Amino acid sequence: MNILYYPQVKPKKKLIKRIYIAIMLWIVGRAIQAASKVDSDVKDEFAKLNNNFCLKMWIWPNGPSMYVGKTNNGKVKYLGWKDKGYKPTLTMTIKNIEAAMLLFTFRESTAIATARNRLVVDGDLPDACAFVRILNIVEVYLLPKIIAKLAVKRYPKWSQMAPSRKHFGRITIYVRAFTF
Amino acid sequence: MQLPAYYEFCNTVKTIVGHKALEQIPQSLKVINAQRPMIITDKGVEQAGLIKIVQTAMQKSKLKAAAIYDTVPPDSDIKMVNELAKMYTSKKCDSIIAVGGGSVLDTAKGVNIIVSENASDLMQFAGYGNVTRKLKPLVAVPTTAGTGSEVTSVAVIANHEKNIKMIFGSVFLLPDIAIIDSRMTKTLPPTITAFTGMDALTHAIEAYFCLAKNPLSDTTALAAIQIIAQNLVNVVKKPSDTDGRLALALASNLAGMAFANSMVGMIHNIGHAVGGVCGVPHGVCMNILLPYGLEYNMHKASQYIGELLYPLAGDEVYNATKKKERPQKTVAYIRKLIQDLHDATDGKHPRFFKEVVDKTGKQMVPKEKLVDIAKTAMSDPAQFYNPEDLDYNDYMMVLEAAWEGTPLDKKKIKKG
Amino acid sequence: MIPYNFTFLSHPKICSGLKALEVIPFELESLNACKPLIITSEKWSRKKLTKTIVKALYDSNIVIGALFDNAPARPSSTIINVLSKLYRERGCDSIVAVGAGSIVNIAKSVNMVVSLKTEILECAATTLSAPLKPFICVPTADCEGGEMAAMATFERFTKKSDYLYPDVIVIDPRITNNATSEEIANCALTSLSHAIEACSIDTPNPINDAYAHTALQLIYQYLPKTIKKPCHNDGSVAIVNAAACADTAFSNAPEGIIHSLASIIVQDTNYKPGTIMGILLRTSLNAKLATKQGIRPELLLALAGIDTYAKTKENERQKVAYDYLIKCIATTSRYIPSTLKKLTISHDKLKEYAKEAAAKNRDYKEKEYAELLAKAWESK
Repeated sequence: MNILYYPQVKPKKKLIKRIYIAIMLWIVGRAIQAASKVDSDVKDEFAKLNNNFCLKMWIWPNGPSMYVGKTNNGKVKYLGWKDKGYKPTLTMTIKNIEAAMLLFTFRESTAIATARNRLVVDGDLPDACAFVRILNIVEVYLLPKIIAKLAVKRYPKWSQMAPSRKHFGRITIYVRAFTF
Repeated sequence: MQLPAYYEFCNTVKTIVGHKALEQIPQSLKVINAQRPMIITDKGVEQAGLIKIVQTAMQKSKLKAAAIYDTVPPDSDIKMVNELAKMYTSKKCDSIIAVGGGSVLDTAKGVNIIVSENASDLMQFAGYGNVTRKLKPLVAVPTTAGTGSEVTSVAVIANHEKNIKMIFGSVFLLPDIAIIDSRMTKTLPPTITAFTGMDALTHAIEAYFCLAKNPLSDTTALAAIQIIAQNLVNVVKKPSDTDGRLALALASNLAGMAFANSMVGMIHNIGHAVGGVCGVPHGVCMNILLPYGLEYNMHKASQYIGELLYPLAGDEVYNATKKKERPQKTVAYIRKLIQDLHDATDGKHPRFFKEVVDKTGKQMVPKEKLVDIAKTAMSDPAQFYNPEDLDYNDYMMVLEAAWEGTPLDKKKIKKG
Repeated sequence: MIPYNFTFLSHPKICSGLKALEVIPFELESLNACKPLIITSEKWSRKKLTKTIVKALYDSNIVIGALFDNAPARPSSTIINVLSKLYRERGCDSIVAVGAGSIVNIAKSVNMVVSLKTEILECAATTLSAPLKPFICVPTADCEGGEMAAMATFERFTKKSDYLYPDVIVIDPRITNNATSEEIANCALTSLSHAIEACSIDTPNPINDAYAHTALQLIYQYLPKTIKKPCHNDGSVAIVNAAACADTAFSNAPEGIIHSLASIIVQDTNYKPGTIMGILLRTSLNAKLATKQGIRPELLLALAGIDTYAKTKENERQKVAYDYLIKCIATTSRYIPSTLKKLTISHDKLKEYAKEAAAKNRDYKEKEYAELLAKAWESK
């Protein structure tokens, strides 16, 4: 048997999925920054975090990734996708690109992805809880109710988030996210 | 049985169970080429004479501990870990036997990382998945039938100088061998037996209804619940029942296997907070919060909670109860179990937070602390795995009810 | 009550379900490996499973040392040596086996050779005392039993050791949904026999029972629909899950009478283990029911669930459990004959088998083996 017949294989990249995830990460990052200015709940949650807070959300092992952090004056900022020597205090690692696709096509909620061990959280765990709450609010703003219901455990009722606040917030966040 | 769309299950610990399980330590170590074990334990275990039992069991096969350290503090600390690692190297040990509860095992896991990786700084291994190699042999001998920490892959070690808690998570932190021997839990006083048993029961029940449940965690959890329900009150009433002791220790192990893989929810979440703010023992918190955790998640997990009635109460009660009423009956049954334990220990087993007192008789959870507890609970990650979401007001509602001892008002539970 | 006295070990981590294949790179890396040797057979490579696997490793730092897709049906020392050489030449550091039966046995044997750095025939006599190289098993749904257990078969040896468990078992619908109905039936019957034998021993072992009961429950629930539609995603995943649990239960219990007999008949005749085990299981259940011994009422709980178990009267549970099991075995009747006679096994051979089995597994007497075989050869 000629063993040279069985070659060494170097797996390639999934380019289109990477681009989709990169765009989604960009939108989420920008939306978090925008929501921190628009929504009071998000603002409060961020206010409680340390000033060196820096989140890295990335797909293991080679990205794409996203950084969100607090600046020295306490403002929340989307820091981009490149590692410019940030020191993340909280890392959210998605184990592979397919897991990220499930998450960002809303087939799996954040809670389910964590329960299925596809999303690994590392670093300051109290911050992680706060961040998941922020993410839930942002998702309620960004997504239509029918999809957001799949992504969060408990969709807020009228008493918690009035439709006027939701729709106004949604428009402002979208506008702010896409303009500079 | 529902097969989840995706699940992971991992339990690599070799479990040895029996009235004479300790005698198997030498043989098991020999198979993995270890001859010079180091025993790590704490003062309480040493004073109860348990180390002597372990040593005698080992001597029957002419195995002697190369080093013994018996003063691990209740809160594992990095300084201690470094000190122990030095001792391990200087005495040329080649394996560790950890005899005790959670903190002893955490310390042993920390020592094992340092001596196996030849590291100077434990910090570089902190976090999830940073230990990537097989470590030195580690044998866990649990002395409380409750924590199940002999089958969990996590260790928490504090750095008191920097005032932080380092969390280590990796499958390689799982001990190689867990020894479940009735002699190790035989001398536990009834009150501690009661709440450690309830701790194990909570592990199993949360594993059965929380988000990461899977076929194997289900069957192990059900087995654990059944064993605990059949034995706990009996053993509390009759502490010398060694068969019952062994059964409880095994149930704790089964429950540990279940929750290590399916994670825990709000009961642990709030329990950690009460422990952190007021210093109440973990098992006591679990015991008090268990019925409230079930009530709070009732609308999302009623089927699972209803099924729990069978292992708890047996087939007759299960059959006599209509399907719709089973979830409520489960909660009622657990309340009755807590009441039974309360009676069996002459009222020393607390039913609500206002009944929890320390050695001097002082109330440990004053009502004004509930606000702090709720705030702390907001930042505990166990909430991720709870079926229903919780915000600050929800925490307060549960805490107030659990303090007073009144059932949750169903109308106040927000359903999304 | 007999006090507990047992040892239990289930080494593998199970990753099962949707997109499970994609965790392989992460799992390899956490086992400190990055260059696996992938072993599979031509049959699966024709069904494009190799392509699926390679695609699942996209976007990672893994390099496939070699993709060997020509594993033969028998784990001979020739192929083990060839693959060991391939492993060393390419500088691999781990093994991934895609398939079942001989593929997994070859992979385990290669792992012993490259980890112990000896010849394969010497491995049979050596005691393993340290973990082998990382080994990931990606089972297809034609399991023959033992793939995910603590054992390996090569040439005519069967080696048992805790270190022969796979490190990770990855069960993915894209891999499991390629089997035929017959293969599913065989796989389920093997698991069923292993699980039942593991949980009918006299000494209580609740941990092992939990694994065995999981297997039984999954098989009872999913076998009928999976036999009808073997390409069913959930169904095929469930059957392989059951196989994984049954293999663990099997590893932690003494070898039962059915397994011992079946392994001897299989070596002699080349029939699938599931076929032989199915026939023997049905016969032995009949015998047990007649003497009212050995069928534990808890089997009903495992098979039918809490509701049915609680509703059934205590003294009827054994009988109902038996009915459920027979019903379960009957779903395979299109593919598995009911007697050994129909398999064209000659009656003269039975004595020989019983003798051989009695020599191999002394827990049972030659007479017991012979009785079971005689009944299985021509049952009424």
